Parts: sequence; C-alpha cells; structure tokens
Amino acid sequence: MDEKWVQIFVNGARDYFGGISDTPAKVGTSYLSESIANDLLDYTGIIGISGLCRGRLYFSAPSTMLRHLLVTLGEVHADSSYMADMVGEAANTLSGNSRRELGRDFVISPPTVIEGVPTGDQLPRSLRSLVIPIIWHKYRASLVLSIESIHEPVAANG
Amino acid sequence: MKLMIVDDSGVIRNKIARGAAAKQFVIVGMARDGDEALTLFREFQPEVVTMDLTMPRMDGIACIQALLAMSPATLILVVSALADKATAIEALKLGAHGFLLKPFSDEKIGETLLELIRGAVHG
Repeated sequence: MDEKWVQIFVNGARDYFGGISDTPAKVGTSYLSESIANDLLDYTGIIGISGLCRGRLYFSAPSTMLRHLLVTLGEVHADSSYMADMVGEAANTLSGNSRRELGRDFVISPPTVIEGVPTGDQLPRSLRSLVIPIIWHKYRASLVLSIESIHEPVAANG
Repeated sequence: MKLMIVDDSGVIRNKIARGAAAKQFVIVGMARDGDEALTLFREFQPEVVTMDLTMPRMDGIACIQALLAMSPATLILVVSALADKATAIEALKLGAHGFLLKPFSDEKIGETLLELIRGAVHG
C-alpha cells in the first residue's frame, strides 16, 4: 500500500463529509498501527475487500458523531440501530467511492457493524494497519485500512 | 408514480423516500435486499425502482435482471456508492435507466427521479 492508496482514501473522506454536510472534514496525519483496538470507537462498520487486494476497511465513530450525522442526513431517529446503520453506510460509501480510482476489481462486501470494541476475527489479520484520523465538527473518527496483499498495481479509472 | 426503494440501509431508504415524496412519488415499498424487493415488486407493481448494488443475499445487479425479466417497462434508478465507470455502464447495459452516486442530497434524488421519468416519456 503506497502513498497513492493513502491519498485516495484521504480524498474520499474529505469528499464524503463535504458531500453530506456544509462542514468539510479535516484529515489528521495517518499512521501505521499494529493493534487497532485503541483506534476503534463506539460503532465500527467493517467492509471485506477482495479482488485487487485482500483485507478490510474499518470506519469507526463515536455515538455523538453518528447522532450528528443522522440529523445532518435528515433522519429523525437516532437510537442504536440507526447509529449502527449510519456507520455501516459510511463505511460502504467510503469504500465504494474509492473505486473511482481503484476500479471495479476493488471488490467490497456489504458492511458488518460492530457495537463496542471488535475482538478476535473482527480484528485485522494483517500485521500492520493504516489509520487515518478524521475530524468532523468536534468529533474524531477513524478510517482504518488493513490490507493483507495487493495483487496488482492500482488500476486505471473504470 | 408508484416507487419502490431497495437499499440495505434504513437511513438511505428514508432519505430517498423523503426526496421522492417531495416530488409527489408514492412510496409503495421499501426493501432491504434483492430477495425482499422481488416479493414486494410482485405485490405492489411499482413503476419506478431505486436500486442499491451492494446488498446481502441478492445484490442489485441480480435484482435488476430479475425485475426486468418480470416487467421490462419498469424504470430503474441505480443509487450506489460504487464510483467506477464500469459498474455504472454494466447497470445501464442490463437495463437500468440512470445512475446516482452516493452520497446525495434529498433534492438531488428527487430531481434525478423526475429526469428519469421525463427521459422515459420523451426518450
């Protein structure tokens, strides 16, 4: 995973929050982590990745941020099932939008959502994960890329 | 016109419903996956369908094929996060009439649905 990949997801996070609200997200300095449990928050959406590469994408956010996102999207409900839905949909959109640059061989699964700290099989299998901090309003979320292997160079658009 | 919304996210289903209702569409069904969509389609016979692609059980591509096999005149708008051109082209080749990328605003989904109908009337 090189700088090009990092930039694709950094830009994707900025575009996502800028697209759903008038407040763009700030993206913090990304870093490698050998144990992402400390980077995960109240709700985590997990996307399985296959095809071009194998691994997972995690989008993890605190309840307060998810409630604010739900209101921003016009949703009147904000209980735990809606927060889980919101975090899963954000993970799906962040990963799906990256196919603009990565192409259709970047195959993504429907989201799995975890409330609380993921354990065991829910944690990455790869040795190190890339953590991209996302700050929106006063909240901090984490976008985590855990890529075990990349089969081909980044594909051309489409 | 009668509209059915297919998406595995309740938040997105509600958002599409608000945008469509503001443009006088009548929501006759909301489905969480392709299997549920086929059941609701047989019952309510919607004229327009919004279709997510990445869903559990039956995905959007398979559901588009099944819906159009049952009712070729159905207008289908794909509403997906998958941003690569190849996926959009595949959906259109299968018979979908439009593609809207997530995220989107309430206004955008309403306007896009109206354009879909205008295209069907004038195209």
